Amino acid sequence: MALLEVKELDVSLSTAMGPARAVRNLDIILEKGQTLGIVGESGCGKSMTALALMGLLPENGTTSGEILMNGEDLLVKSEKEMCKIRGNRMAMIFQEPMTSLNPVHTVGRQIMEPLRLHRGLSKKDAFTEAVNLMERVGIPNPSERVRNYPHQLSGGQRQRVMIAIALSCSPDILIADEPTTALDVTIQDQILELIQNLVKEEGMSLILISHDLGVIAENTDKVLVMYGGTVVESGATDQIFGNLTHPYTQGLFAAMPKLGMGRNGRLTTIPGTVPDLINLPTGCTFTDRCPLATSECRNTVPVAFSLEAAHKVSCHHLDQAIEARGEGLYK
Amino acid sequence: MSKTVLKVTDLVRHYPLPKESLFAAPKFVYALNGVSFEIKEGKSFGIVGESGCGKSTLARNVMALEETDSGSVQILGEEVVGKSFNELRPLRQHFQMVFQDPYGSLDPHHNVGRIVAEPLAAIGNLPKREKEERVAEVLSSVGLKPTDVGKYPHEFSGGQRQRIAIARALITRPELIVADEPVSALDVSVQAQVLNLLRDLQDSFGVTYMFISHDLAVVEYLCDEVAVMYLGSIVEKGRTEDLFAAPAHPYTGILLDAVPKPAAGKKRDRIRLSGSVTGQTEKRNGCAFQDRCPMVDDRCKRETPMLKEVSPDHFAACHFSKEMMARAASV
Ligand SMILES: Nc1ncnc2c1ncn2[C@@H]1O[C@H](COP(=O)(O)OP(=O)(O)OP(=O)(O)O)[C@@H](O)[C@H]1O
Ligand SMILES: Nc1ncnc2c1ncn2[C@@H]1O[C@H](COP(=O)(O)OP(=O)(O)OP(=O)(O)O)[C@@H](O)[C@H]1O
Ligand SMILES: [Mg+2]
Ligand SMILES: [Mg+2]
Repeated sequence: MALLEVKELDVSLSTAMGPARAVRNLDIILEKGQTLGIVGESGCGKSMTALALMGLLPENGTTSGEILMNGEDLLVKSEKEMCKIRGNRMAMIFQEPMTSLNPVHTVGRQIMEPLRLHRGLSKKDAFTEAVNLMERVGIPNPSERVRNYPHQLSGGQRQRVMIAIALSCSPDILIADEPTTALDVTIQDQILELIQNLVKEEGMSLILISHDLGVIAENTDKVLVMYGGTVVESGATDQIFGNLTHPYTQGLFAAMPKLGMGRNGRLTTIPGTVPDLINLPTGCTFTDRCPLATSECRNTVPVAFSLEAAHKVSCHHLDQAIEARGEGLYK
Repeated sequence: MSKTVLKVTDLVRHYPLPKESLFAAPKFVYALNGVSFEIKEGKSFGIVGESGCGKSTLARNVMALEETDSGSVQILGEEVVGKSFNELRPLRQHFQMVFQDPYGSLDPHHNVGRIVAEPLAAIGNLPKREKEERVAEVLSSVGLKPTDVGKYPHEFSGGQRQRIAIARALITRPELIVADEPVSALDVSVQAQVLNLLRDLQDSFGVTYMFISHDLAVVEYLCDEVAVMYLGSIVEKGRTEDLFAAPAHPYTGILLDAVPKPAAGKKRDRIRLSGSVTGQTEKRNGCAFQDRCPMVDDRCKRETPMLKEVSPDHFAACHFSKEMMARAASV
C-alpha cells in the first residue's frame, strides 16, 4: 500500500459567479521516502491541491474523491482527527510566510508551540530545540533572533521560520508549497539539502510545489505538470525533463530565462492566460493557447496516453508535439 | 550624458535587537553599512545577494518608507532622506515600489479596481472615465482580465496577486520603479510575460528600475548593471555581462554556481557555501565573507577589503579579485 494515494480528487470553490473548479480528477501515488514535484502556471490549482490534502481548504471549498493515507480516507475524518494528523504526520510549508506567521508572537514562541503540543517538550527544552531548528534552517545568530517578531525578519528569514515549524515534528509527509521562492540560490540550496537529508535519513516523503523547473528537476523523483486544475503530463522526473512532450510543458520550459542567454532576444511566452475556472472549455483546457489545437481539442477531453512506463501525456496531437520538441512550438 | 535618476550615497541602517536582559548592552543588526550607487535614466540596476543581506532594507530606505540612520538618497536630484511623508507626497508619483510580499501589501477589504487605482490619488483628481481606462489598461498589460476589477485579493492565487501589485506600481507611469523580488512568486510563463513587459515599458517610456532579485538568470535578462550585496555592503558591482563572465568576488562566483539547472539528471557537483552567515550582529575585523570563503587568507582576517575598480566600470571588494578573474578567464 502506498503511503499516500489520492484518487479522482476534485476541489470546487463557490464564488459569486458560480463554482470554480480549482482541481479536477487528480490522482497521486506517493510511496514512503519518495519525492513528488508539482509544476504549473500560477492559478492552476497547485496550492488548492496541497490545502485539500491538509484539510485546510478555504471555507467556500468542497472536495470529492479519496485521499488515502496508509489506506485511511482523510476526507471523512473529523476536524479534531485532522488536527492530530497535521503537524504530526503531515506538515505543510505555506506559500505565504507573512500571513501564516502570527505577527503578535515572537518567532521563537511559534516554533516552540508545536514542539510542546505534539512532542510534549518542557518549555526549556522546547526553547533549546527552537534555537536548534533556527540554526538548522540557516538563520544567523539564532539565540538572539528567537526573540524577534516576524516583521523584524527578512522575507527569506520568515520563510525559513515556517520551514523550521514544519520540520519540528518530523512528519511522514511534508508538503512544501513554493518553499524556496523567496530565497536566494545559496540558501535555497541549503534548505533543499536539509529537506533531502530528512527524506533520506528519516524516510520522509515530500510533495514539492514549485514553478522553478530547475528546483523540481534536481529534487524530485517524479513530477505532475498541472494546467487549469488537472494533470496534463506526469512521469519520472528524468523522463519528463528528458522528453518534454505536452505542448504546455514545452511552453513552460521555453519561457524560462536561462543563465547565459544574456539580454539578447525576448523570452518566449505562452500566448493568452489561464482558463476561467468557472466556465471551463469542454475539451482540452489548453486549447485556446495551444499552437497545435484543432476542433477536436476544443470538443473532446484528451485521455492520458502512456509514452513509456509511467510517462503519461494528455494530448490529442502527441505525434506533432513529439516532432516539435527540437525546434520549439512557440515562436 | 543622461541624467541620474537615483543616487544613493553611504546609506546606513542599523536595527536594534531586543535585549536579552535589562542590563545587557544593546545589540544591532547591521543591515546596511554604507551603500553607494547610482542609476542613470532608462537603465535597470539589479541587486542580488543572500537572504537577509539587506536588499529589502535598501529598497525601503530608498523609498523613504522608514527612518534612515545616515547617508543620502537623491531621486531626480531631490533629497528624500529626512523628508516628512507630506513633503514627499508630490514626489511619490515619480517613484513606485513593488513589494516582496504581495499578500501583505494588498488591502484585503478593497477590490482590485480600487487597489490598482490607489496611487492615482497622488496625481490629483482624474475624471472617473480616465481612471477606469487606466486601470483596465494596466491590468491587461500584466495579463489580468478587465473583469477582475470587482474581485478581492483572496480570490486570486499567489502569482495573480503579485501581478495586481505590479499593475498598481505601473499606473502612475513612474520614472523610477523599485521592485523587490517582483517576479519570484510568478511561474515561468507569467514571469516571462512580466519581464518582457518591464522591458517594453523601459523601451517605450524610459522607465528606470532598481530591481531586487535572487534569480540571477532574471537579473541577467533585465539588468544593465548589477550589484552583489553581502552582509549590508556591496561587494561587487559592474555591467551585468562583465560581472557574470568574470566574477571578481568569490561570493559572486558561488552564487552563479548555485543556480539550479533544469536539465535531466540530478544534483551537480558544485562549490557549496560552508557555514552560515555570521557577523550580522557584530562588527569585526577584516572581510565579512572570511568564514565562508574558499580563498580566505590571513590578510582577509586583518584587513577589510575596499570596493576598488578591477577593470573599467567593474568594482569588487576582495583581496583576491585578480586571481578570481584570472580563474574565470582560464575556463
Ligand atoms: N477563496 C477562493 N475563492 C475562489 N477562487 C479561488 C480562491 N482561492 C483561489 N481561487 C482560485 O483557484 C485557482 C487555483 O488557485 P491556487 O492557489 O491553487 O493556484 P496555484 O496553482 O497555487 O497558483 P500560484 O502558483 O500562483 O500560487 C486560482 O485560479 C484562484 O484564482
Ligand atoms: N524591523 C527590523 N528590526 C530588526 N531587524 C530587522 C528589521 N527589518 C529587517 N531586519 C534585519 O535586517 C536584515 C536585512 O533584512 P532585509 O529584509 O533587508 O533582507 P533581504 O536582503 O531583503 O532578505 P530576503 O532576500 O530574505 O528578503 C535581516 O537580518 C533582518 O532580520
Ligand atoms: Mg499557490
Ligand atoms: Mg527582502
